[in-house]
Amino acid sequence: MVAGVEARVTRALGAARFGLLLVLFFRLAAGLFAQSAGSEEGRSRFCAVDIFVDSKTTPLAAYQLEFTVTNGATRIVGIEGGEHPAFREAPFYDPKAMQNERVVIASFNTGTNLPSGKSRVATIHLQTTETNTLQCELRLQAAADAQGTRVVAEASFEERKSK
Amino acid sequence: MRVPDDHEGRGDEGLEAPPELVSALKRLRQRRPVIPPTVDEAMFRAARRHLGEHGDKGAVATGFGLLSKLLREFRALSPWVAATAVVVAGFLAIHFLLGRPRALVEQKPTKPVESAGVEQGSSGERAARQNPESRPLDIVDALRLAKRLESGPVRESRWDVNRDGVVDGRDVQTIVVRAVRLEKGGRS
Repeated sequence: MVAGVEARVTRALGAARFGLLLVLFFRLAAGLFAQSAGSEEGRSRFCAVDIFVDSKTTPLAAYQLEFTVTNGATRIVGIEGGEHPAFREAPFYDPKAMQNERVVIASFNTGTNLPSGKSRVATIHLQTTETNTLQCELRLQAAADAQGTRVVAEASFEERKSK
Repeated sequence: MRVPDDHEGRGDEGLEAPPELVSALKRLRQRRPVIPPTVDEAMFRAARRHLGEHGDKGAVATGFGLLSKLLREFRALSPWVAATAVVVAGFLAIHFLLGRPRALVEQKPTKPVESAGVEQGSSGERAARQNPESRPLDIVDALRLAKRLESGPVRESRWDVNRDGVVDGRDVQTIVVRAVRLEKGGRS
């Protein structure tokens, strides 16, 4: 009977040791992952992407566009307004976009001093890795003139060159 | 129970070992017994035989037995360990190979947007005017409402987007918030 109990205890000990071994393996793996993530973060860089809307000859009073970073290692960290006084204030956006890769930005101005042609309407700041080349998508959802009439416009983006 | 303290009242009395004992101990250190390796081996074999006869009980009882038992268990577990190592190695390989940032330059050109082809006076626009919520509200709706509010109070209930009974700047704000809202935490 004692031998039976001992055998059971031995088996249990064996299983426990095996479990411990597994835990140890995964701890090591997790450590490696953390180390890799840390080093990735350590090599991160910040960049700015200028967003342009070209409404040709029509004065632009409102725009709404969707900006998406398509390479996973890049995150949105800040959004600021454009160059023209009509859109100098930061556009509207969902705060959930911060630290994520997608944002919808929109802005309007009811004044008469409005930009026409190609104008920088916003700048999006991103955090990415040194090795990562920026890969983004931009989709203009809406644009309107001073009367609130929807107009045809073109949106584009350009990574700002660091000085 | 208190352990009797033998030091009490005795001082340093009797701390000196007898000279015979001291000299005997010194002799013992000088003359070390020489054990030939054959005897060592024989003892080792006898011990193994003995532990083998006594089975697990004997093995657990001694340090050597415990060690040999652990080694046996490790040998039994080694296929599992190897399998786990393979799984972990595969996992790491996948992570490092697929997790590498793609060095790809791609700027998809944006198409000119006609905002669903809506022009003022078209049927789509009329439908949207009748019920602004029949399609997703966007920044153009906010602009139109803001402009109308600038020229005077708006009484049409369809512009009361936030359902507070008044059409004002808060409705403009609500439209803007809806327009830029991300459904799932910013992820597409």
